[in-house]
Amino acid sequence: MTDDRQLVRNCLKGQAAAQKELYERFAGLMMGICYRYTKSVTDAEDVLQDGFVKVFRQLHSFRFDGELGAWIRRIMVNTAINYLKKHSGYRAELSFDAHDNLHPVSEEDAELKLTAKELAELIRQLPTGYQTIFNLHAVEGFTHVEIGQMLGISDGTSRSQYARARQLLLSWMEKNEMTKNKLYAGK
Amino acid sequence: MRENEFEKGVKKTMGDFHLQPSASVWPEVERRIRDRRRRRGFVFWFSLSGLLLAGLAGWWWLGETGQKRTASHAVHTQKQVFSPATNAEKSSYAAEKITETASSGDKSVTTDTKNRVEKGTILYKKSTEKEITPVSIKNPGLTAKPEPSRTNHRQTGNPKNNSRPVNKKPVSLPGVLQSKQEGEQITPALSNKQNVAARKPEGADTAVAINSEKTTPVGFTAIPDTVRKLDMVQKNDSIAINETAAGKSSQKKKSAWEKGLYLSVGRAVLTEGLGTFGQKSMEFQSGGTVSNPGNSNMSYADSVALTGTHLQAGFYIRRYSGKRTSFSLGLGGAVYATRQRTGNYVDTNRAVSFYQLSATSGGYYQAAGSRRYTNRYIYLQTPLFWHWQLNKGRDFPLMEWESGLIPSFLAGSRALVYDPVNHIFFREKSVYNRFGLAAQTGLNLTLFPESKHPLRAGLYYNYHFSQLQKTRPPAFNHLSGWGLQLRWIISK
Repeated sequence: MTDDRQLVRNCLKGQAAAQKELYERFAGLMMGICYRYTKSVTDAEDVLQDGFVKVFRQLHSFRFDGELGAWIRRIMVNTAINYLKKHSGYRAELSFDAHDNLHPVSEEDAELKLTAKELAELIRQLPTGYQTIFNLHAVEGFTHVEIGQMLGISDGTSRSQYARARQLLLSWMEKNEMTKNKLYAGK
Repeated sequence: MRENEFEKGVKKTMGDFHLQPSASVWPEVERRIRDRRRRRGFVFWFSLSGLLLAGLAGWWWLGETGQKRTASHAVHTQKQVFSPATNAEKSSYAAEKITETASSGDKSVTTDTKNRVEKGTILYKKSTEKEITPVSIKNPGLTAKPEPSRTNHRQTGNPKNNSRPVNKKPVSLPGVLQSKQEGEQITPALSNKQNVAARKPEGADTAVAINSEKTTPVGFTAIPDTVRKLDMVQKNDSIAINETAAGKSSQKKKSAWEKGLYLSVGRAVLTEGLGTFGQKSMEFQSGGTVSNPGNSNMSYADSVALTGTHLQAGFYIRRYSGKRTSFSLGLGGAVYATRQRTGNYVDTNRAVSFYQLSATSGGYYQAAGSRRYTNRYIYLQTPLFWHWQLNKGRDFPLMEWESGLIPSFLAGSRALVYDPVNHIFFREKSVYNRFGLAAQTGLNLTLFPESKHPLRAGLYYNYHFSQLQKTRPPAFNHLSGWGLQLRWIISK
């Protein structure tokens, strides 16, 4: 397997084989990301497509000062957010108002035994605003300040939205009796 | 704390979350990338041709303006020479000559005054220097007495003599247009304008046209003599004498364009990029060697072509844009040849698993072997160069640096493509880029500058920015050539 540096060079030379290799190397992981941010597989594939087109167009700007996978992941996340903002179906749902139908669950009781797929499915059932903030904070690791800048909201809003999203998720887990093992590694 | 643990758990769970996208995603991504590249190519060529057109239009316009400026300057200068003749006189004089041209019959002899007037006074002056009076060929018995030149009047020192009334009725004067029979006056249309008293030289039986400045008689005593003398005038002074009434100028304009032929002979090579010469480095990188063709574990290096011959030839035109700079545009062809090591030829159809190409090769070459195959790529090209003169050519031959772009079209190829999956070579024209763009630079010396057809000889290096092979492009995918070039100037 070609190393990242050589792969990028070959892609920049326009070698179709190298471009396909890069795609195949990262498509699965990136599809997982796109899937978490969207509500349907079709939308996820649209985001993936847009994201990879951006990757190949911007590949010349990759300076090898980080991992190629991380760089592509960041592009995918940004593409997903832009996609949500652009598409009317998501834009309407991408509100950051509090949802009243939430009921807090005690975290102590939350025992989870979820596969990544099951957890992703739960995340996708969150309202789009919660889903986005949850993904950005819990999975991608962005701070609330960064999320606020990305989404154009205050960090406080991001914080509160995240808390609500988290509560909602836990409640669903409890309701669906999927919580058998504790998610928390510390316990 | 728990919150952090929750996030860690989510992150851990989701960290390796993979989903396989459907197979339709990649073709779409690829299509969009290629489309973009095509669009960029179109934009590039469109912009380049637009720039060229704009440049040529600007150049032409500037040239025209410059010529007009020169002409008006010449008119101004001539005014001073012709003084005290007035502008009205000049214009009426020009009009006269044009009328004469139109009215002097179907076989007329005329000066191309109209053109001269339009093009400036230098020519206008010539027309006054050599007065040619129209003669009717149909009436051989006629003798024409040309009007005396105005400079002749000027020589008399009498400004009044210079005034030539316009649109007056014809004056019955000897020599205007007269038959040999005494007293029989002809009044053709042209004689309407012949309102200046012609001068009959003493001792001459007939009227004689006098060249005022050289005082050379160019008269017409009889038709044969007239024609003969007019011939002399034509030959000696290069004044246009046309058989048609249109009065086209026969004055040969010196072309602003230099025309010539070019020929370049050198080495051709497929390179990895600009400044990379040859394939040696590739051999080391890949671990394989070209010199070990029998190796069954064939490496990519074995597929790399060696150097060959490069030929370029064509026609060019060139024009100076500045004191030391010039611009040339050519049309020609180029052949790049590279040699290839192959195995035996197998004359059997074989499906080729080449990326994005479901081709069946009608016969193929095995990969490993010691046979040599020469790949040939034939391009049509339109080289566009700027030339900079580096010295004055006094102590050392005139040296010139040239640099430019060569848009080219792959008109034909007889070359092998390597299939790394099946380890075979096959011919497939569709894998090549049809359009290419090369850059060339060179240094020339002008030889025999005093001769009619000087020669420019020098060295050149060119490089194709565009990739040769578009489908599954190999690492060494840019044609390049260097060698000796000659430019033979046909006309300058």
